[in-house]
Amino acid sequence: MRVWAEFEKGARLRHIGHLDLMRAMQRALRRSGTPVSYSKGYNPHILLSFASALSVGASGAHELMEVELREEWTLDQFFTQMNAALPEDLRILRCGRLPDGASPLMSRVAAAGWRMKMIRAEDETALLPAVSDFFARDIIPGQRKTKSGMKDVNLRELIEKADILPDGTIEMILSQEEGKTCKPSMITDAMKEVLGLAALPRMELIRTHLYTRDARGQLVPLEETL
Amino acid sequence: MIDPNRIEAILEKVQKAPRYTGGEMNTTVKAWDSVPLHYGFCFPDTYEVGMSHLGMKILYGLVNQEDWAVCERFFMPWTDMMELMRENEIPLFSMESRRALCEFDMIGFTLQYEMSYTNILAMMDLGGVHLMARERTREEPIVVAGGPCAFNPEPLADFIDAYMIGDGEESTLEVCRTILQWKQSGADRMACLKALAGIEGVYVPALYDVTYHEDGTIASFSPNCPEAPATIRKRVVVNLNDTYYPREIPVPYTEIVHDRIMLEIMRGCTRGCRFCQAGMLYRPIRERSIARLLELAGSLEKATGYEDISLSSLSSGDYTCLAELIRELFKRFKEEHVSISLPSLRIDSVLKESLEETQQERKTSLTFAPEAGTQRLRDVINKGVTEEDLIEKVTDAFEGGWSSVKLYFMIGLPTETEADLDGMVDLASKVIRCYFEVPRDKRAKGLRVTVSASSFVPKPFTPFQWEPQDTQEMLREKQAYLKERLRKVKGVNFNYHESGTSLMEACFARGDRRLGAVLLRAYARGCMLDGWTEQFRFDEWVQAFADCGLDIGFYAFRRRDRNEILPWDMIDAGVTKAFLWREYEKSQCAEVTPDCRKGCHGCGIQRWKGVCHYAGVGRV
Ligand code: SF4
Repeated sequence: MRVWAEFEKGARLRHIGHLDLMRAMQRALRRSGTPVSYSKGYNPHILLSFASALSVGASGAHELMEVELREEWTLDQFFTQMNAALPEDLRILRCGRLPDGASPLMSRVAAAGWRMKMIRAEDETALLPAVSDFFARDIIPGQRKTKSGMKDVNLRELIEKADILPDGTIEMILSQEEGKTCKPSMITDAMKEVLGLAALPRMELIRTHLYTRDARGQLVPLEETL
Repeated sequence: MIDPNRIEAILEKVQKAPRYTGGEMNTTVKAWDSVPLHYGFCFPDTYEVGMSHLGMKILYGLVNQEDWAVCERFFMPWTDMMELMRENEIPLFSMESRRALCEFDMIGFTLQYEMSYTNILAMMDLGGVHLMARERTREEPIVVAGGPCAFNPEPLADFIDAYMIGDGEESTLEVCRTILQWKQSGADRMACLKALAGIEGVYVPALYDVTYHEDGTIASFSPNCPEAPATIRKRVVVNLNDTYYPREIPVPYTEIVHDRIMLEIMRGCTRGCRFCQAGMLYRPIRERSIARLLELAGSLEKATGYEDISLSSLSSGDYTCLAELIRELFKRFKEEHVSISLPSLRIDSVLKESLEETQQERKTSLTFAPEAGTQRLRDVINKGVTEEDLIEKVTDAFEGGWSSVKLYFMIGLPTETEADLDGMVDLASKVIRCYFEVPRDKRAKGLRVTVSASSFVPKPFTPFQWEPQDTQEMLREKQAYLKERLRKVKGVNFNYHESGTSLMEACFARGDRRLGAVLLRAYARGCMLDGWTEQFRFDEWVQAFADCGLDIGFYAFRRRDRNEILPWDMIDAGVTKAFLWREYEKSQCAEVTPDCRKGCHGCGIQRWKGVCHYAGVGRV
């Protein structure tokens, strides 16, 4: 039986990296008594995967994972027992069954939504006009890490959408498509460069959603399609 | 409380921020004002080291069980964090409620090794607590300490208000209650210290005076008030089955040194190795029952989700029904994919059967500790292991599919000669031969033999407590000799440590109160995290000794007279001075003392009624 779950990675855990988070989730699965399946071989591990790795520094509002169970299990049991077994900064929000032949969540992710907000109001007042200009540019010079080193790219092409809300929050949808993956750090690095700043002010960073493309090629939150 | 935003701001800049963020599964957060007593448990090393320590988990759980107390954790920040905290004027804060160290009613340090002493100063300094005990105000925490190094409390006497000697499960809550009563009483700090001195196993350094002879040895040591007992008897848990053991332990997010369930199967050791302080301090031997262990392992596995259980004790192979215990654990956890590991196997007690069972899981390298290269020297140190034992066990291991073996030795042991160094080389060569004697198709590929030589440090409460340590020149010469000889043995990797650390360890292990000044000086000169090779600054330590007019050689290289008053003489650790001296004399003629389960040697712990099951057994 395959189960997907939508979960939240709280702000306190934003310094926890992907592998550590995986391990925490695996241990929670074990604590919860969920009948998980293990891989074969010398070092058996729980068949768990996240739809997308969330990097250090960010919290996640609607993250997704899928896990393979070795026997039938009710979604109610999964939901309640997992939440009882998780620390308070990790919460299962929803869960459901993945049909047997369904493609892995990981392969469906096309983009990710990000929310950035400057922590101090005075930074925001000082910088927002420049930040607006930054996103309005036709060419946003940036760099991408590739196998053969850093490569210049026009970030514009990797940004699906960028808005600045009335309260100063920056909302972006960045591509996660193969060869076009854009991390928020690429945006902030470019911003530093373009704005001529040694460092950006402290910002809160949240991944709001993972997106997939619907039949018409439109980006829709992945969890809404499950 | 410290403004969370200020903490967050620096967390973004440090390496390994999860060391400082808390919120781990099974940690306890209580509303600050809901409990009258706040205990800050301090581990004077990094998070990764401290969170691997079993004693901390026991005491953390023990105190938090009480509805009138809360225990929160503190660790030593790494240098980058420390700088940022200083720059931003953020005090050392607890992992749970992020309160400053100085806000707690009491703080407790666990003393696991001497090289963490400057970290204690750094943590108090950063936490807003006066370093010198006598300068603390009534509002500041009462500073307590325990752990193996507390058995010689003197080098930290200036900084610690009260020590808990012996098993912490016994005294911790009594100490907490006494401090709480005092806090509510309004009496002065001295009243608290005197009340603490009334608890069995508690040593309050301020209540004792020391005088010295001209040659630097102690002339007198005595209590300066009627409340202070002349000797302090260590506390001993009588029955491990009845004593507190946590059923849930914090599960860190980030990787730590020992990231698993540690199941303490017994405490104490009956082997009587003469260099081993733990073996003397933790007497007598006490076992947990299989039933209790299975029950604890079950609860812990459920509460943590850990996939790894390690059996912990000084000498797990000596557990009476080890094979049965392992079989039962395997049976119990078969479905849950839990692996069981035996960390401190002794070569004369590894059961072939348990070897075969552990191998179902991962094959890591096997560790053997012959400690010395020849039978003569092994007899001197009473390491009851023979070459045949070693060869047999190593052969078993190679046949069982292991190909990586670590051999632990010590250099600088009393009476050591070149022949003993040659013996190490010889043993390593024999181990390699064993491997090639196993048919090629039956042995695992990739032979790796690591020979590791640590420098011997004489410790209090051992038969070698009177012995000098080898000088640095002697140790370096021996290291160079071994390096040269082992270079010619193919397949051997040789490891050794810089002698500076062992030298400082030797000074502080057997030091007196005057070393408090050296610690302060070294800390002022920037010494910290001295247990980390890259942070250890030997020259600064040498300078600190010189600044204080104290001689390193006096502490490390001097043979003590039998009648000398030793700085730790007021502590009754169980083993008597008479027993230790007997053992010392036997060592000088390479006479062994067999395992005391086969016959009691009257070490002294029999004076504690009913704690040693073997006391008096087979005595003639
Ligand atoms: S009292 Fe006797 S049997 Fe018990 S630990 Fe001491 S020597 Fe061993």
